[in-house]
Amino acid sequence: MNRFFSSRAQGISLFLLLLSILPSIGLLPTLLLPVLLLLVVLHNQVRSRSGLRWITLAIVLVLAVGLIHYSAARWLSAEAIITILISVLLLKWVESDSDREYRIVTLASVLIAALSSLYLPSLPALAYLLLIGFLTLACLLLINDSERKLNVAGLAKKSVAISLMALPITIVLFITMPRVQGPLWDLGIAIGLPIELAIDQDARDIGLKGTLKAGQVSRLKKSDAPVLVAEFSGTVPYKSRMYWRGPVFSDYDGTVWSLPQNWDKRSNLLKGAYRGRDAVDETLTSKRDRVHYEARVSPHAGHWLYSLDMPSGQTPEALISKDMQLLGIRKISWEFKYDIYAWLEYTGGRRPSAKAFSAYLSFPEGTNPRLKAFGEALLIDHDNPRERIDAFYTHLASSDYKMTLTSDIEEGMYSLDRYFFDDKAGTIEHLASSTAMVLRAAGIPTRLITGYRGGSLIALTDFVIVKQEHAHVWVEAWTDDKGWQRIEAKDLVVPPERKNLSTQTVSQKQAAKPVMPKSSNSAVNAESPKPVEQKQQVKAEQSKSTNTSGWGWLKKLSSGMETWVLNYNPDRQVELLKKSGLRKVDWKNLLGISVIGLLSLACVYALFLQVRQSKIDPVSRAFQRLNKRFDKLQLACGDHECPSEWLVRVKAAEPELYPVLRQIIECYCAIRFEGQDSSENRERFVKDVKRLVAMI
Amino acid sequence: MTSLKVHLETDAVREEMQSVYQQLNQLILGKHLQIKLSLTCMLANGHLLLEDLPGMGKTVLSHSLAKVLGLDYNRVQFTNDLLPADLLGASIYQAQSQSFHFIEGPIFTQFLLADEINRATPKTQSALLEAMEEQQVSLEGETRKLPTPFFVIATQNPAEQIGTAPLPESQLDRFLIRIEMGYPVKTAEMEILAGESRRELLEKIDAQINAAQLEAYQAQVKNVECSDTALTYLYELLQYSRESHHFVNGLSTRAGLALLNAAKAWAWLDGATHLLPAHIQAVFPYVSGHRLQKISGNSDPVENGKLILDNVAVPR
Amino acid sequence: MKNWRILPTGLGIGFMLMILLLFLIAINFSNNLIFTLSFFLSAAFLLSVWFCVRNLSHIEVLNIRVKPVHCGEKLHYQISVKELAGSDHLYLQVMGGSQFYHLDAGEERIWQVDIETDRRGPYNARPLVISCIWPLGLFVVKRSIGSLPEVLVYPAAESILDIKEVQLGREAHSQSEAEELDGLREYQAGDNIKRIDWRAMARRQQLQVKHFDGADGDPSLWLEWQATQGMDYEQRIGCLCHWVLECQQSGREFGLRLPDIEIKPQRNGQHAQLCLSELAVMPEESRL
Repeated sequence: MNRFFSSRAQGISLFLLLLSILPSIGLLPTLLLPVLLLLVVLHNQVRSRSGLRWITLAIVLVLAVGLIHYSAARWLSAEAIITILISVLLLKWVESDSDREYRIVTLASVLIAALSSLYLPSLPALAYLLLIGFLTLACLLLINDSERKLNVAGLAKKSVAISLMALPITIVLFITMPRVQGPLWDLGIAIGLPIELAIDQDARDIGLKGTLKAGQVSRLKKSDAPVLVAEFSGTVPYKSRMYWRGPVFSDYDGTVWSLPQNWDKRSNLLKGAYRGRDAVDETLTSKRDRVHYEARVSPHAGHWLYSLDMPSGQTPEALISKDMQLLGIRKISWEFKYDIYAWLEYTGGRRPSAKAFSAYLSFPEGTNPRLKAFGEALLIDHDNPRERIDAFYTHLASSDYKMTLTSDIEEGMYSLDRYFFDDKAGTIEHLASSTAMVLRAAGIPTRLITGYRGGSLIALTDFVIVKQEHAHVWVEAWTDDKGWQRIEAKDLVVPPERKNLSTQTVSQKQAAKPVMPKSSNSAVNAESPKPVEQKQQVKAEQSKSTNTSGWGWLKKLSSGMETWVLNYNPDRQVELLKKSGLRKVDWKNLLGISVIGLLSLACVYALFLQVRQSKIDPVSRAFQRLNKRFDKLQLACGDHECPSEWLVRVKAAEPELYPVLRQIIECYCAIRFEGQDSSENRERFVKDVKRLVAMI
Repeated sequence: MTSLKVHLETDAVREEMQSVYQQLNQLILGKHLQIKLSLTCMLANGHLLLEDLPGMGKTVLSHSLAKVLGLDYNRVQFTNDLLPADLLGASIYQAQSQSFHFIEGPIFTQFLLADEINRATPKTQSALLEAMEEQQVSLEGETRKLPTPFFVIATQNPAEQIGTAPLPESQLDRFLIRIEMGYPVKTAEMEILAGESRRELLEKIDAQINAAQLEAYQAQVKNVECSDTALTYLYELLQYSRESHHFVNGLSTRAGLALLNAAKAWAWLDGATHLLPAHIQAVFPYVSGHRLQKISGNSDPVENGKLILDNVAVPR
Repeated sequence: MKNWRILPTGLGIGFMLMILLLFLIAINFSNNLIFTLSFFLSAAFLLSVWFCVRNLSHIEVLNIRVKPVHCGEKLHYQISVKELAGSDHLYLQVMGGSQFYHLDAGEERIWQVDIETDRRGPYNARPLVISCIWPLGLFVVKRSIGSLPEVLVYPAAESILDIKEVQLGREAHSQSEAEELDGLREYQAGDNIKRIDWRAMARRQQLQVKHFDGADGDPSLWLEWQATQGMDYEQRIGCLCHWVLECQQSGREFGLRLPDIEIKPQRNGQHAQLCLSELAVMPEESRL
């Protein structure tokens, strides 16, 4: 009877393969899995007849393709790709009969396992991947062990030895290897691939529009379609300081902010526009932190170029409007490229006309009376507009407002009242609109600005990708002394460093997301923030477990892991290395540190290489010691000299040492040559040698 | 602690052999090493090959050895017309008893001096060597035991090559020890020249021990103990001869056994109860030298042995 | 380290590609766990060099022996090696052969290494290279650990012609002691009746024959280059080689005459080897 596996290599490569597909087994069409497993079970029969072999394999492959076709999955979806990969690999295993092929199957299994691990929660995924890594080594080892020199224990020991020795290198690489933030698509864009390719067709008309209602920006936040890519010359500003200026609103009817009719007529656009290189700069009352960047804007339906606040200078085919936003002269229906300067901190601007002034101060009649009253109270309490703004800030900071992505607040004339005084939880539009209205009621002209804040920095480069998810709304207020100035209410409500991590927002975000990636592209994008989400789950579980049992160490372990493994990202890497004294962190430095780390480890390992395991017996060691001592007297016992002859030599040269040495050598000869190798003699010998060495 | 005793204190040998040793030294001046090695050879029950020019005292040494040890002594001068039968003996028809009677050859003795063995034909040589090895003689289908103890001292003249058949290499290892007499040192030579003829002195000496005693000593020699460490050293020596590229062939296991026996005899003669590396080193050049052939041309056998000793470390 | 060579194997290159793909997957999903896996495997990849090097270190070649063979036969090298570090060395390959050799901790062992021969003449000394891919098979590390001694490969024997007996009268070596009585031995069927020792028979009642030294040897021969005329150059050498071997086997005394060399007739093993060596180092035809 044939054994099931013809070799150990065959067995372990199948084991690794099955283990690697285990997490994603749910993706396979239901019918396919039993067929594949049946084929694996019958592999000996299939293999034995070459005709049958190829026909069977072909049939199964066709079956797999057919099943995918008839299942709901789309082509190029993650399910389809993984299904095909798994089927091909299992069939390859069935067909393989050489060590070389098993090695290939092993390597491919690792890739499948890596993809599969995405479907596991983080802690099990880590354990799973480490197990896969370990098994990969064991598998290669076993395939190489063609003459069965090692038993299972020996193999395990060797694999563990390799794994343990690999750990320091892994840690060094993990910490210092230059990290690039995914997804790869961002990299592609940074390199110069057209932005359109990254935008789903159905997401094309998403974007900021000429009107703004509550919830609109929040919806944008669910999309990661890129808006623009900016390459900075020099340092990239902090994310929180980057405001990409989009539509500027002044008209509010209580629910909807809107732009004036025909605002985008060419004549309207040009009216009041800032002309000339220094036009904007001349109107600014204060300006700080000038940066230069080059941007590529993805096509959309409007004129907005989303320049960084506050644009300064000129760029062809674009103008800076009276609202100080950079607009394309034509609609941006193809990818638009510009380079321009910007002031990250600014106040000032041209004083608006009286008509415009009234628009900036208008509070729609019959809406949100409490808000109006609140603003008027500020006006009474404080003479100085500056003080009024500060008082408002104080209110925001001291009251417990919350940010959500969706809101239950009904649209209506009193919705801002309800948000500001009752629910204290709402979307960014609620917050920004409230801010604008309160300040208007307090006699301060305000306008609402929509756009984007922040962006994804592509690690270790000067590229920033701004995506729909960065959409933001903020307010500008006019004071006579300073001119226009930015009012950022959000930073007072949500401290900047915590703003994306509030449990509520995230869980909603997760709920809103499809559970399985839809297409390969969106799979790439959808999975990217996963560690963050999982961290939340872990956190939740942790807080539960600490209440119920004393698993403190586990908590520590997992929170340590959370910080240093799961959430170790390019920012943290840069931060860590800056803390450890590196002034400038870029990919060259990081790579240098990696190489230095690896080289120093290599030196340590090279030293290990010299270690020999031989144990020197104490008698020999004592004898060597004695000999070393006599070597200084030029009387060492030669390698090929019998100790007794040596004694004769010493007798002639150093007669006073002779009696003691004779005793020692007699003892030595007794141990070595007269069968009196007792522990007593050994001890005596070692002791005598010590004494003599001390004596000389 | 007895291994070191005699060896360290004096140049003398153990008490039982002291008189033998002294007697020989009086007769053969300035040849302590050769005498001690010869005694070692006798005690280890091996045969001795003396190789030197004529007139260096080979015959005197062998004759005096036999006399001092109290053994029967025969001397055969090997010539190219010496037939095996001349050495071993032959059956002769006796008219009185009307039967063949075996007349023993000179080999039937306790102590045989085979003088100038290289002059004999190979056939005669091998007859002798066979008898040495087997301690018996097979002749005309009958086997005859040789007396015990049985020693052969063969002498060979290395300078005389014409018309001779030097012992082939393969036969040399039948001899346990090979020594050269060498010229005597100045004082010794002066004394020899001034004093009585050695032959006359030879007449005067008496046996100090007898054959039975010698056999008893041989038994004692076998009881000298050898530790694993000493055996390791011996093994390393053999191994070096085999693995270094200096020699055509390494030492055989038989050579190893010979070494062990000789070293034990030396140790016994030194008064030791256990074998020390020093004992092995003392006999090694003389036991191994003639069994080794250097790849690069001819060399002195003793130097061969020393080469190995100098290259093998004593196990510590 | 000039005695060492380190090269990735095919599998090693595949492994690198796999790590690269893992790395890309990790970047794409910004997944630190896959980063960890890819770094772990990279570490194992780098370490496998270390393991290979250690596997080849601490081995000492004590000596190498080889006997001359005929062309076409394999050279049997006997390489005695010793382990020095107290660890096992597995799956070593010698001179790129497919056979694996192993060496246990502290062990001394003789490896038999067979190497094909394809031409006659001296095989020069070359470095003895041991290599291994153990344990992971990602790198092949080679180390030159000593040198294989020079060895002479005798020509392949080709039995094309029977020996042409060349009797050159006086020059043929006469058996000097053929007349000498060596001894008696028991009669065997086929012995020459003239040699029966009748007197011994009278004595012992059994047939014995006189045995003369050298009496049953054939007359000595000359093996001559000229005798092989009409064949290819290499065939002639092969034919002479065959004759030498045949003479040696049948114990005949022979001499060898080559274009420039004459070896006087003799009969021992060394003589045959001398003749074979001369045949082995015959210049190649193109150089004549």
